[in-house]
Amino acid sequence: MTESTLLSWIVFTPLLGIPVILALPKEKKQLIRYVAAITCAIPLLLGVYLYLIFDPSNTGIQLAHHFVWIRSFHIEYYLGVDGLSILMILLTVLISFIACIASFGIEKYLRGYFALFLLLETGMLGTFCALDFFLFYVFWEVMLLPMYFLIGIWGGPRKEYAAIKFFLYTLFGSLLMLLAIIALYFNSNPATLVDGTPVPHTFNMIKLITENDFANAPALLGFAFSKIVFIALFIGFAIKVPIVPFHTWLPDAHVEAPTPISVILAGVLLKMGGYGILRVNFGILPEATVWFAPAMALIGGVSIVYAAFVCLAQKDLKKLIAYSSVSHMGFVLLGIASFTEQGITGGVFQMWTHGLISPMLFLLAGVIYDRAHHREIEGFGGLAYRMPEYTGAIGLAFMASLGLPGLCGFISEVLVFLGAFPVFRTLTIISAMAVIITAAYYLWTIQRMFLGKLNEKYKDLPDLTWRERFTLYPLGALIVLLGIYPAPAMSLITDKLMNILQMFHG
Amino acid sequence: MAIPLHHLLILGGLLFCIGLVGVLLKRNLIVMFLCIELMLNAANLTFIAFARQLSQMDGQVIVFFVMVLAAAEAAVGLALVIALYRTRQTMDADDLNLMKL
Amino acid sequence: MSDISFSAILPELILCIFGILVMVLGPFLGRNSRSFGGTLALLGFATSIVGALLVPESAGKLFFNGMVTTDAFSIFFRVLFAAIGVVMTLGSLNYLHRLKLPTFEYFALLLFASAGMNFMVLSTDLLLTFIGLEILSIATYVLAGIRRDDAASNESAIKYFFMGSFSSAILLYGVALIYGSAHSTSYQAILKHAAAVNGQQQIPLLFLIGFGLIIVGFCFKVAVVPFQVWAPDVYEGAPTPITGFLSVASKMAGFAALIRILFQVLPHDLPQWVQLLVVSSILTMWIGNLSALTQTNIKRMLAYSSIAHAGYILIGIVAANQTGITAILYYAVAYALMNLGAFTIITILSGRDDRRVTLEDYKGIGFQYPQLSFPLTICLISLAGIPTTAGFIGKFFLFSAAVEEKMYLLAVLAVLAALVSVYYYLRVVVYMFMFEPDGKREVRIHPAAGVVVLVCCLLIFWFGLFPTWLLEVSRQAVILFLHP
Repeated sequence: MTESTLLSWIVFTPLLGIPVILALPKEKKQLIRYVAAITCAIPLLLGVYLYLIFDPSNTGIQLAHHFVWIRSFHIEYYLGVDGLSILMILLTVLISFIACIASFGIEKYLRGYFALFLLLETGMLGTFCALDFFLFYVFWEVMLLPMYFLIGIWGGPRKEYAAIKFFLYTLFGSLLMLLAIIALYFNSNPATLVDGTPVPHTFNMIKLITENDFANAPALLGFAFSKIVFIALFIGFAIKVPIVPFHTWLPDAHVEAPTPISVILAGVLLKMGGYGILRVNFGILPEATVWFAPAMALIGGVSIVYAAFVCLAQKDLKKLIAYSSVSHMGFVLLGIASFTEQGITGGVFQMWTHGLISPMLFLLAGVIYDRAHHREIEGFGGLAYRMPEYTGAIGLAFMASLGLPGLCGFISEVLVFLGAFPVFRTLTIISAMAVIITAAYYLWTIQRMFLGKLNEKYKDLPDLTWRERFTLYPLGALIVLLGIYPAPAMSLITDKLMNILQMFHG
Repeated sequence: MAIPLHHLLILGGLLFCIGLVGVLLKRNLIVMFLCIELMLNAANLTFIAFARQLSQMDGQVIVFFVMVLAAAEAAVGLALVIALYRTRQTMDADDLNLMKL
Repeated sequence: MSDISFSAILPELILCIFGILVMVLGPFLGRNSRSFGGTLALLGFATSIVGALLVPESAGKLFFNGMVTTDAFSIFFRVLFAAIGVVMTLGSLNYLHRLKLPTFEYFALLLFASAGMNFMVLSTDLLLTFIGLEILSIATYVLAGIRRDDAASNESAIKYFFMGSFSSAILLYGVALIYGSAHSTSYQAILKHAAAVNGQQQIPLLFLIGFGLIIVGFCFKVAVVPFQVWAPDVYEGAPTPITGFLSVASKMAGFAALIRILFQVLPHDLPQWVQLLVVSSILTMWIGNLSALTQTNIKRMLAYSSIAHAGYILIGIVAANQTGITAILYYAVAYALMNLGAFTIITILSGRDDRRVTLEDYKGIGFQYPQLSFPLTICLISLAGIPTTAGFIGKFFLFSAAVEEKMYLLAVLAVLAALVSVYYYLRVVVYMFMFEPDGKREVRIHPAAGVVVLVCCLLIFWFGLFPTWLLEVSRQAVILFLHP
């Protein structure tokens, strides 16, 4: 393994585990689980190595793995990382590993489950590494199908509905994206492939960003080219984020999905939308981004406020967390739409912190569901006396999620507000008010579930097991650590974001 | 006295249309089949008319090919109709409703 | 005459000889040597592939008095059709045995049908094209009705017969009018005539109507809107392997002949046809996909799906650029792989009387028969056009061709139609994996069919991940249409 193939190794190691798992006998459940965990651990270790050799002062693409893939259509295999994607890769390998450990409780069709799980991980990692637009799309779609099966086969009572809804929503977005990709391709300037062959058009994202200006491309269906392509791409990514009004698949998918899949969904999949908007929309179509920024901020603000209110009305703990995800992802949009240093840094950091907090919340929701077999908030009460450790963990996660100072959620939200305030004054104030609602629904949930009179039905619930601790503690530790000392993550973002910012101001 | 070309063409066109309308309107399988034969023969007539006008052999040779094909088609078609009659005791196209639309 | 060259039609000669052999030897061998017919047919198709590869490729030279060409386009399809024949033979061996159907007749007709398809793609004369079409059609009428005592099969065959011969008659009348206008039926002469009339203010009515009728005739054959109504009934009632054959091979042969006529014969600036075909393409995709949504019979659902796929292929025809026509050929191969793969699996699962083809019958088989449900899933997601499969690459290039020609509306509508289609393909998957089974059933997988399924699935992924070779071959095959 050399430095140039490191990324390919990270992306495809999970894939190598699939045949091994499928070859194991069905009955050796524990062995299957361990093999899957080891397969997930390798990318995690490689990710740490990647972090160590990554040079944060270099704003260009690093560790590229680049060769021609489909010559007849000028498609290349091009993986590479910069400050933006390395954060997402680290998040993905971490969350995947934790979700894999959390999957140890799965009993049904174990081999199929882990095979799909690993395929999903490859798709996610590939999406974050891919720098060829076609390759990006392929990876983007590759994670769709495993997700569909993971929800649809191992999910809850309405799993078929949730799975197909998830699938159709996302596919609708990605097909719009596909058309936008093709349109960008045919309007791109001549370029050269990596081996020096001159080609009339290119899928190379870096070339699309640096060597092309789509502001003056011929109109498309009567609309300005860059605007309509921007909207097509934006819808594609925004469905994944998700934003109001394209968010309705998310609560369904979360409620029906098994716990580890909810973790992946909240921790990684939602980040793809934000990542895509930053990488593709901001990078390739800066003029249209400026034009669309107020709308984007408004959508972000609406998502924050609307989802926060919806949270108040939720009875199902998992649904509450799902809607809070919608609300928190709104901060990402608000932050990056401001084009200020703090705003964009905060938006990206919010993706990271939400990627740590919401998996923890879903894991905790899974813990209680495993014990009580339901998630009705009203159905509990006084759990704090029976499960002090669990209550402590969920308290930490709730506080981090509502943005308590000293925890990482605080830093990102403050940065977003600082960045957005000079640009969108009223909107920022309204969004900041929503934080109060967030605090309200979390505290109210704590009150109903953990304080008050103990529900006699649940007086024998055991506290956290070692497996659960193993998944929860690292997340909790990172939440606290990054809340006190966010510099390691920040240093990765800042230089890269200055690059993006320069495109708008310079 | 030679018959002008367009007379033959109009006759061919009429026969073709009669056959076409017949296939669409008639419900008895045998009558429908005859209408298809009518369409084929309208084409044949057109071929011959052109061939004579152009003093070519091609058109006439084509007609022989078409006749052979029509005969083959007739053999298969009638066999299928008989097979259908054996299982269903019907010759009516409207009775062919085993599969929902 | 010096241009009679039997090596130019070597694969067709092989197919016919083997067809006759199977038919003549059949009665002598009797019922106790069923597999002999299959072996012979397999040998025939395999030799025909070799024969097709041995045919000296020459784009400019015509044989048999200007009737036969050996260009790369014809060779591409001749190899494809023979390969489909191999797949059909292997996939239906067990089916014929299970339903006690006459093997020798079946395989002989399959060989003849294949020969007919070959003649359709190698011909450069409307008469030969017509004869090829009739050879194919007559053979498939019988194949559709080969279950003589089954009412559905009979009905399917009758419907196919009437629609087929009706469209043939329309086509023939069109040929007659063209003959009158161009004074010949050979493509070269018609092209010359077309070039001459194209300069005139008004294109002769005779010529226009003639071409209109020919295109209508072919539209019937390939089942595009508004000439698609026969397809679902015929596909549903026909024996399952034959449904696969009709939806893949005879459709592709129709398209290949249509492409040759449209691009080699028809003058290129006749925009009316393009407009009509654009509308037809959109309607075909939408009607096909929307109708498929409500189907509960898998064969019928795939019938509508195959109508929709004809719409996708029309995109390549109306875009008429290198990307588009190359993509059609690529898609022909991809579509053959995924549809034949799916139908082979459906055949295996169709039970003792070929009746277990509804969604209910697929409940819960996902984890009962993973060796069938996984390949079927692969074929279906490829039909749906999900990446890493060949179906995705094909759709990608077809849509790209439309965008390249700035037909954005067509591209958007096509993409949305593809989205609709995903729903019904996945519904099968939902039934297989997400519902509990209603008890056990006996399914036996014949090794021959198993090999077919495995190869189809592997190739779906292979061409999906590494399409360069196939795209290059396709591009070589269509070069003659791009520089007339």
